[in-house]
Amino acid sequence: MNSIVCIKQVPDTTEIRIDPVTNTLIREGVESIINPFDLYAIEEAVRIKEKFGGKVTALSMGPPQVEKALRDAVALGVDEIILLSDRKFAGADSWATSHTLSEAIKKIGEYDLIFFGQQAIDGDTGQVGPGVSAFLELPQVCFVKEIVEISENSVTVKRLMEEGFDVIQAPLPTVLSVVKDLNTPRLPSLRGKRLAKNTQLTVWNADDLGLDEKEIGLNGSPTQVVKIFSPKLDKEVEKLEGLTSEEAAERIYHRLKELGK
Amino acid sequence: MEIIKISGNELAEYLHDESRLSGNAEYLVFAKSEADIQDAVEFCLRRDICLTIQGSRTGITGGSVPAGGLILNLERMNKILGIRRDEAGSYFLRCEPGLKLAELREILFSRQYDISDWTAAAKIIWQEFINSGKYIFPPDPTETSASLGGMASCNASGARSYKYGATRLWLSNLKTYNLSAIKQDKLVPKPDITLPSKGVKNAAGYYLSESSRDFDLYIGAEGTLAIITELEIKLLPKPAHCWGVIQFFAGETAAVAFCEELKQQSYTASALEYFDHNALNLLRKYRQMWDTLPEMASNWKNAVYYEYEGDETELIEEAVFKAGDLAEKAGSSESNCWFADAEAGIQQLKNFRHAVPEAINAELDVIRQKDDRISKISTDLAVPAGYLHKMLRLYRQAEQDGWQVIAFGHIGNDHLHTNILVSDYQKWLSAKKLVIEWAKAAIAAGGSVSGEHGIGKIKRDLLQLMYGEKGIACFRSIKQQFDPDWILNRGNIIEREPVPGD
Ligand SMILES: Cc1cc2nc3c(=O)[nH]c(=O)nc-3n(C[C@H](O)[C@H](O)[C@H](O)COP(=O)(O)OP(=O)(O)OC[C@H]3O[C@@H](n4cnc5c(N)ncnc54)[C@H](O)[C@@H]3O)c2cc1C
Repeated sequence: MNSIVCIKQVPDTTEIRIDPVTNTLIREGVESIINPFDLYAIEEAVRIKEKFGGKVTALSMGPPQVEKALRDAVALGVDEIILLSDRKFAGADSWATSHTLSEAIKKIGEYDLIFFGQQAIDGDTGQVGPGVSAFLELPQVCFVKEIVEISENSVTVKRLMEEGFDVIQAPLPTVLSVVKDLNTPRLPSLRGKRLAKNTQLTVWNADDLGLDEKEIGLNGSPTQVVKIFSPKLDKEVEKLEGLTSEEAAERIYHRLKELGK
Repeated sequence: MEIIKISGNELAEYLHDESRLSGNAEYLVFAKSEADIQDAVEFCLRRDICLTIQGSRTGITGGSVPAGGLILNLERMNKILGIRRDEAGSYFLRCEPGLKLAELREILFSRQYDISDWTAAAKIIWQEFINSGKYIFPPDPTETSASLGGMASCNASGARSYKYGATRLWLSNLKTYNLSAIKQDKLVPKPDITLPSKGVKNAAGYYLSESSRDFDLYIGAEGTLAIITELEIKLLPKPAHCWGVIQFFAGETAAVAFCEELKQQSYTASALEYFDHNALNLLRKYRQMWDTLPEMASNWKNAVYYEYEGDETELIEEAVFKAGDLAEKAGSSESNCWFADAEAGIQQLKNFRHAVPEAINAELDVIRQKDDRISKISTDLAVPAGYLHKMLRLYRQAEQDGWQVIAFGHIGNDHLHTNILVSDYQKWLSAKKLVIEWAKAAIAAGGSVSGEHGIGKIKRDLLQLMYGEKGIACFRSIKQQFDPDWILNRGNIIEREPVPGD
């Protein structure tokens, strides 16, 4: 059972602050991490390998420093790592990203399952998994919360729904986007950390994938981000701090009465 | 100043701390300023009642548990008042005592704070400060809701004290409200007692080592000499990288041997912590406290947490891989560990460590529902390097004798917190006696009966063992000179000598 896990390196949002003057993210000094949702995808692929044999390949598109995220994936049990890196890939939207990743997946060739995290915490689109399945013309299931069964030629999963779940069987190969309920990701071991240091990184550029400049990066992107801003809060928040529960209850009671007038 | 009169069962949360010892009081004041503190003290003096100071009540020796009278709670005095930079370029923050460690950390992390009340000079330095990278306040008693005043009063330390030392080293000045005009250097008689061996962590009794700083005596005095109203803390530039590992072992001998080897390494770890098999078993029972981590394998019996910090990844990597070799040499494997090199992972490892005392407390709460005379039995014995084996032998002997003994904590400083969990009161009384035997052994080795938690109201007997009558008399005379009416934190560290005829 061979799996490919597509991962993204993102800034650690728990460390990100918004510059109150320019309204942009302060990225300086912020650690880069594997997109947290992707950790569940990696964990599941590694568990499947441990159970059924085969190998796990992690694939990522991004600048050269994404090597760190890929090596971190090796520390978690991934066997092979491929980085898609080329200046021409820059500025890709979710369409161009899906397209580029799907070409790389074709080049990898052998796979039964392709995993994605539910969404990346920086862009929050959740579209790349479905996009790849469309380009590859493969079935896909999003919001996978449990893998119930894997057989020679199919996979049965539970898909998280607003109330409850669906049970879906899909033929292999198939694309799965996973949610946090799926498992508890392991932490790397020192052995994994050593392997990560010594594993060979494969880097592919646009030529390696046989992609034309018009199909990739900014040129290949039909959508554009026009503006990013923090939404203005028109709710006024009052914080009651350092009060005993009785004092707080009393204060809230009077405040509500006042507001009701 | 508003004085709340306590009646019935309300405000019960202010009558105990994390030792689960419970006290009583008539009045409660939430001070907001030094003027409030002065009013509260005068109120007590007029009525001849005692005053107990409270920070966040996370102490585990009953230090902030009231012994009647008035509770002076400082949690609402939690502002940062200013900043200073010295010639060497170090930054110092002037803080009120109720500021919680977690609040301070968030401010240092976000570098956002309302400084509109500050002086113009301080505002300029703050701007320089927030533009000059990240800073930390190294003391870390693992319980981040602790207040700075409480940490100073107990001279708190913790996992990271292995590298950074106790709170004392990170305090550059204190402001106190005093009840007498006595100064430390005018104390009579000059204290003359035998202190623990050099290098032993010690938070038992007053600080009597030579010191040129007149506020050193207040640090670790558990609020018995004066009320700390302001602290100036020293900050450290945040090391760029921090890597942490929890390494699992199949037995105590292997884990301890590993620690001994690690201590010999040239690159000093910033933390070196131990979990015995009973600690891990308790964590298995309280799985929900650390459920972001995977399950532990069943043959993982003991564990060691270590952490390396610095600005150069290569050096840290070398140290960590060396530690991996040492773990293998001690009979474990590089696969039997959890590794983290980013903030989120490190937090998970620290949370796992913090879950040990939390799980013990949860166990204790269940026991106390049946019999609330039973309080926490947690030792804080620190011994000189090379003597930990001796202590561990005693703990294992007790286990063979049928006690549930949980040993964990600061093995880097030869300072474990050994807890005994008992379910009935008679056993609790015998366990107390057992602890006295352990304390005697630690003292005989040149150790201390309290490495960091202090004496409070529940370890006075141990202090007596350590310093004898002469030592206690010396402490009493110091207390008498600072607080002639024994108003402050009555019952902490020492008791007032019974007055004949009283
Ligand atoms: C789960 C857990 C783990 C812990 N681990 C550690 C550890 O690793 N290392 C460690 O050192 N401690 C540890 N502690 C103990 C505790 O967090 C520390 O002792 C802390 O310093 C207490 O701070 P506090 O604000 O809660 O003080 P409190 O409990 O409110 O008070 C402690 C003492 O200080 C006095 N005091 C408080 N403020 C002032 C003031 N402004 N002026 C004068 N006296 C004052 C009080 O009267 C009392 O005697 C742990 C506690 C818990 C619950």
